[in-house]
Amino acid sequence: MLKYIGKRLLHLIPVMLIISMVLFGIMELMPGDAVNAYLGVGSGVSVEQQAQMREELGLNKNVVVRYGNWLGRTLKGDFGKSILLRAPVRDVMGRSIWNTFILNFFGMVIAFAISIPVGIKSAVKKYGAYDNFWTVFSLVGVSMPSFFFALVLIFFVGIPLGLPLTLMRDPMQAVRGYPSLWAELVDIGRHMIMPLTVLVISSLASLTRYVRNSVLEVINQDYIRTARSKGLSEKVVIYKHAFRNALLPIVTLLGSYIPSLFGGSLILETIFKWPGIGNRLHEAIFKKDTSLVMAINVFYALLMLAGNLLADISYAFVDPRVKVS
Amino acid sequence: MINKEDKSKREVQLEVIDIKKYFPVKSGFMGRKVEYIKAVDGVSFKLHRGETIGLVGESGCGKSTLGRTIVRLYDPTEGKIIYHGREIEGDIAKLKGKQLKALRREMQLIFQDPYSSLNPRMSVSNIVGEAMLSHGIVKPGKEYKNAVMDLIETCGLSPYHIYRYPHQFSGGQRQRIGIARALALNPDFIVADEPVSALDVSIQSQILNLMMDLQEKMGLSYLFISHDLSVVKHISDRIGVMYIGSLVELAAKDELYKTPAHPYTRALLDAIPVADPTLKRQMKPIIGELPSNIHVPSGCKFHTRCPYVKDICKQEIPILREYDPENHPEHFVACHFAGEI
Repeated sequence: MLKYIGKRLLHLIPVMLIISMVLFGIMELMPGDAVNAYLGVGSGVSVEQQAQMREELGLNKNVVVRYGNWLGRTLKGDFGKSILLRAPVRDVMGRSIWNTFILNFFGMVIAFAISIPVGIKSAVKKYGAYDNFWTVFSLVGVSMPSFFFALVLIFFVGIPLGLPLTLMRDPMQAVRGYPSLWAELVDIGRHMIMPLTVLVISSLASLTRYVRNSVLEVINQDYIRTARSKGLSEKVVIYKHAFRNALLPIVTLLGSYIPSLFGGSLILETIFKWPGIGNRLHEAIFKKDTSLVMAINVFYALLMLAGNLLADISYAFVDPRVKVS
Repeated sequence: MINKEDKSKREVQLEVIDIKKYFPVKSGFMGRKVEYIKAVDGVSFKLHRGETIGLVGESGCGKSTLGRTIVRLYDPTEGKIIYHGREIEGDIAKLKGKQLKALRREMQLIFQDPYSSLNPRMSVSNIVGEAMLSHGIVKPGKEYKNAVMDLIETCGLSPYHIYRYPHQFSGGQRQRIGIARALALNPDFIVADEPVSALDVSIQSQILNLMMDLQEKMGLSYLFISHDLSVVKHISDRIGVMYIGSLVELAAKDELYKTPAHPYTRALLDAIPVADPTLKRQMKPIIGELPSNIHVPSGCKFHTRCPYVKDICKQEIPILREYDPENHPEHFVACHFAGEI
C-alpha cells in the first residue's frame, strides 16, 4: 500500500512539470502587459519608468529564462510576490484558501447530508411522485448556470430579506473590531447564506441523481433478493445491504469534491465577492499577475491529482475486492 | 427420500391451488398499466414431505416466478398456497409482516447465480449468519460463530472460510455458501431455482449430491427448478413440465420418462442429446416460436406448435387430469388427447 502511494506520488512530478509549462505558456500568450495592467490606462507614468519597473520585475527577459527563474524559485518554496497586492503570494493564498474552505466545507456537508437520503428514497420509490419531483429538480438545477441562479436568488430572496450580498464580513464591523468571537461567527454566517444556498442547490442537482443511480444499480442485484429472502426488514435490506454497496461510487465522488473544497468556484466567489481563492484568481488574471496566477493554478492542479489519488486509495478501504497494487 | 410403495402414508406438506402471478406492463407517457405478463397462469399441485419435485420448461415459462411466488418473494395475484409447517398452517398466499418473517424460517430459496446472489461486501460469516441473528435463533458471539461454522462444514467448506469474502471462492464453493445460507434458518422446504445451471458440469454433480445428502439428513422437501432434464432426472421423485405459465404434465420420474403423455413433454425428451455419435436420431423439432405470455393462445396454449392439433385444442382449455388412473396412476396431463396420440 505504502509502495503504491509512493509510486503514485513519484508519477506526480513529471505531470506537474508539464502542467506548469503549459500554464506559463498560456499566461505568456495572453495579450497585455503586467505593468500596463497594474498602472492602468493614462497613468502618466513615463516610458522610462515603465521600462525600469519591467526590469525590476524581470519581465524583459525571454520566456524560457523567466520560466526557469520561476521554477527555481518555486522549488525553493518561494512563490514570488503578487504585483497586484504588493504582498508575498504565500500570504495572499493562505488567507484566501481558508476563506474558500469555510464556504465549501459547509456546502459539501449540507449537500451530502441532503442528497444521500433523498437519493436513496428516490431509488426505492423509483418513478413515484417523490422521485419525479427530484428528477425535475435535478434537470433544472443542472441546466441552469450558477451565475444565473445566483442573480435570481439575489433579486428574489437576498434583496427582499435584506441579506448581505457580498463579502464575508461586514466591513464597518470588521474595521471596528467584533465585540466577541460569537458576533464574528454570526456575521460570517449571515454573509454565507446567499453563496451557500447557490452552492448547495447546484451541487444537489447532480448529487441526488448520482446517489439515486448508484443505489438503483445495487437494488436490482441478486444479492438484494437474497437479503429479502432471509426475512430481513426492508430497512436493513436497504441501508445495510444496498447502501453499503452503493457507497463505492459515492466515495469516488467525494474524492473529486476535495479539489473544489479548497479550490472553490471562480464564478460564485466573484459574484458574491467572497474573498476566496477563486475570486483572487479572477482578479489576478485580469491584472496579468503572473506569480499569483501561476501559484493558484499549480495549486489547483495539485488538488486535482491529490483528489484522484485519494479516491483510488479510499476504494480499497470500502471494497474488500479492491486490492491496491 | 420417500418410500414409493407406501403412498397412502404420504403426508402433504404444500398444496398450491390455481396460483397466478401477473406482472403489469406499463407503457405510454404516463405509465398506464395496459397489459399483463401472465408469468404463472393457474398452477396447482401437491408436494409431499421429503419429496423432490423437479420443474422443467423453456426459458421464460414461469418456473422461477412460480418458485419465488410459493416462497412469497412475490405476492401471488390469485390463488392459494396451503402450507402445513411447524408453526404455520394454512394459506400463506396473503401473509404479511411478522407472519411472513416466520414463514422464512419454514421455507427458503437457493438462488441460480452464486456469483451475483451473495453480497460482495459481506463476509461468509455475515452472509450465512445474518438471518440467524435477525430471527433470534442464536445469540451474537460464540454461539453464533459456532453455528455458522457447523453449517459451513455441513455444506462441505472449512470453518476458517467464514472470514473470507465471496470473491475469494470458486463457483461451486459459492453455491455451497448459498446452500448454507438457505439452511441457516433450518427450513423444511426449499425452492432450488436452477442451483447448478451456472456451474461447471463437473461441479454440478457435487452440488446435487450435497443437496440429496442434506435432504436425507434434515428431511427437506425440494421444489427443484431446472431446464436441464438430466439434472432433474437425477434428483427428482416427480417431475412437472411447464409451458407458458401452466403445468402441462406431472408424473413420477420414471413414468414421465418412459411414457410421456403430452406432445410437448415428448418433444422435450426427444431433444435430450444422446452420448452416441453413431446413433442417427430422428428428432422432430417443435415448429414455430414460443408464443408471447402477454397474448396467450386460446384453448390449449401448445396448439400453435402441436403436431396433433385439432379444432377442439384451439377452443377449449385442457385441464390437468389423471388421464388413465388404472394403467398410469398419478400421471397428470393437460391434453385433450392424452393416451390417444
